[in-house]
Amino acid sequence: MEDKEIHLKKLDDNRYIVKRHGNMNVDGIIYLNEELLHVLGTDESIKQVENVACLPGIVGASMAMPDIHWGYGFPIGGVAAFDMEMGVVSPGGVGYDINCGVRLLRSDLRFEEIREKVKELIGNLYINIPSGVGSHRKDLKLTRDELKKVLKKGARWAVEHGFGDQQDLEYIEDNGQIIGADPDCVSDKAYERGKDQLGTVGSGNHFVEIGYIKEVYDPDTADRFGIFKDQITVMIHTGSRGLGYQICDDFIREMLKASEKYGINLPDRQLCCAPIDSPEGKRYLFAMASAANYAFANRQLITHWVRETLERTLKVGSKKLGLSIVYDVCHNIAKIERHKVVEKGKIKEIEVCVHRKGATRAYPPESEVLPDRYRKTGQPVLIPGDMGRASYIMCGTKKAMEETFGSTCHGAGRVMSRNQAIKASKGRSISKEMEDKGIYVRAASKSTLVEEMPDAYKDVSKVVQVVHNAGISRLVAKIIPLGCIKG
Amino acid sequence: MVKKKEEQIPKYIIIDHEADIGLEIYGKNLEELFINAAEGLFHLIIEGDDIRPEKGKRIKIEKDGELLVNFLNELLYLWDTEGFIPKEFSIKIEDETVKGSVIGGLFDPNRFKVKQEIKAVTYHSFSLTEEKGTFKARIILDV
Repeated sequence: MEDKEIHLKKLDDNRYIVKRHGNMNVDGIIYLNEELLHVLGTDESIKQVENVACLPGIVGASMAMPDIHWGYGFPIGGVAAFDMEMGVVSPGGVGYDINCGVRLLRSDLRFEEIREKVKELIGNLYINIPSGVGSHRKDLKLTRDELKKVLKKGARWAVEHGFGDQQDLEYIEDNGQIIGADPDCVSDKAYERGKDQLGTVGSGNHFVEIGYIKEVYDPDTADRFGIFKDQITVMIHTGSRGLGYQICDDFIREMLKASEKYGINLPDRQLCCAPIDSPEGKRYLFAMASAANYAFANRQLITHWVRETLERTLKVGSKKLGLSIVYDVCHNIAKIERHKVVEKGKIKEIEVCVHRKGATRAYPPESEVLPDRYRKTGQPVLIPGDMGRASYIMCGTKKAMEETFGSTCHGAGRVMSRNQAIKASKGRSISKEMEDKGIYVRAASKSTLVEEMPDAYKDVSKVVQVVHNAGISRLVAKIIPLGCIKG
Repeated sequence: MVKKKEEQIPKYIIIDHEADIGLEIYGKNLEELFINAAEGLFHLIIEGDDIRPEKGKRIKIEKDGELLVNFLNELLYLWDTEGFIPKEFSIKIEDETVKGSVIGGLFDPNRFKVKQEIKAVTYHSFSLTEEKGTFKARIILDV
């Protein structure tokens, strides 16, 4: 708290700076307005931004988005880029749930057409898509060889096996397959955990949600995204499940040793890392890409079962339903990307390793990696909120490329601890409260429902307003939830 | 904060935080501390105490980072892959290695409710100290 008061200074209405001091190699920049700074309270996350700034080879600034909150090692909402020669890669900068991410499906349906069917749809999604702690699929147990193919091919593996079509791949970050994954860098334990969890949602804040477009802020961009008012959408939020958690744990052990070996001074052991170019660093990136591909395949399989469930429940064909992918974004990942940095007063474009831990890529118009459809608009950015309020569709901007290594926020961020949420919900029925608002929730566990209640989160509308006002992404449309399945 | 008391020293205290959960664990010796940590961890994961002695597991975990973190992450692995819930430990800690066995039950949705998913035990703010014959550890969990 003391540090925060001394070093944190307001830069403008939407940004705060922590001036380089102590062992920091760069400044810390936090995208926040006064209101959200107040919500942050005594949170230690500012200190975590400072800690990340101490890591070797960090370029630009150690950054955090307005959904910043206390993580372990890196703050949640953190963005940090590292020089390929001098810099490091850190499993803690990606997190346990590697390639946790969000996929948005649009449909040709309007809210009015399914208003009476939402409850039934949620019930059927709950039956068809396993969710909850340790959720497994009885019908999809993969052999080691098959799982290796998943880790190598990502969403492409799913499409080749009849889960979705070729066109889906175009609308996924990296086309649903990070090149350079090496399944041989993945441990036996990770394989064991991953073999029957593919196609499952998991627990905590993960979900599959039906919603509708309540408001369109930018009609031209929305049109390019295939989005219109009152349209039914489906949002999928999940990641690489136990396979990713195990890979992170395996490599944190390895990186603790590597940090010592390479003489890296760690302000917090969870920040353990290795030079990007070292054998340890490379192996982590190969294993991380494997987990990222597993997560892409996971969201692809779930998409297939969402389509199947909607077709069967509504008794309409896939053409009439028109369920197609708007985009699929990763928000826990490290990526090698080209960015402009200032070096000795000159702007240079170099390759860097961007860590996004609870942050979303937000590429601008004209980015070569985007599908043709989005070349003029910039990348769709998907920001889920809590289950009771709203989610947002945003768009990447040039300013994000200039300021944040093409990154923006990823969600709402908690304000209540889980126990606080349990206390605050005493004597209330969260599912009844949700139903009174017209939102149907099916959760595998009652405690998940309580811990995930809307009041436990920051209002996502305030978070997206900051990144919109700061210009690092633009508001396109607002989604209101109608129902969801949770773990 | 939820307290579980055994005589004067609690077995563990749950540290409650916005994003994550932690445990402060106590024990008269390292073995007791490790067993109490396992109990605390599973108290956070499941509800229900009818754990039947259905399965035995041999344990040999060598220190690779922090022994307590390694031990608990091994239990999380067994839980995630087999639904194994530990009940009774017989362990010895020597030369930075936990050796021994654990008897436990398997998850049965009729007898247990799952409270939450714990992704992993982290190294963030980890500490293990001894003061006047009491061992105390602090761990932060990723949920």
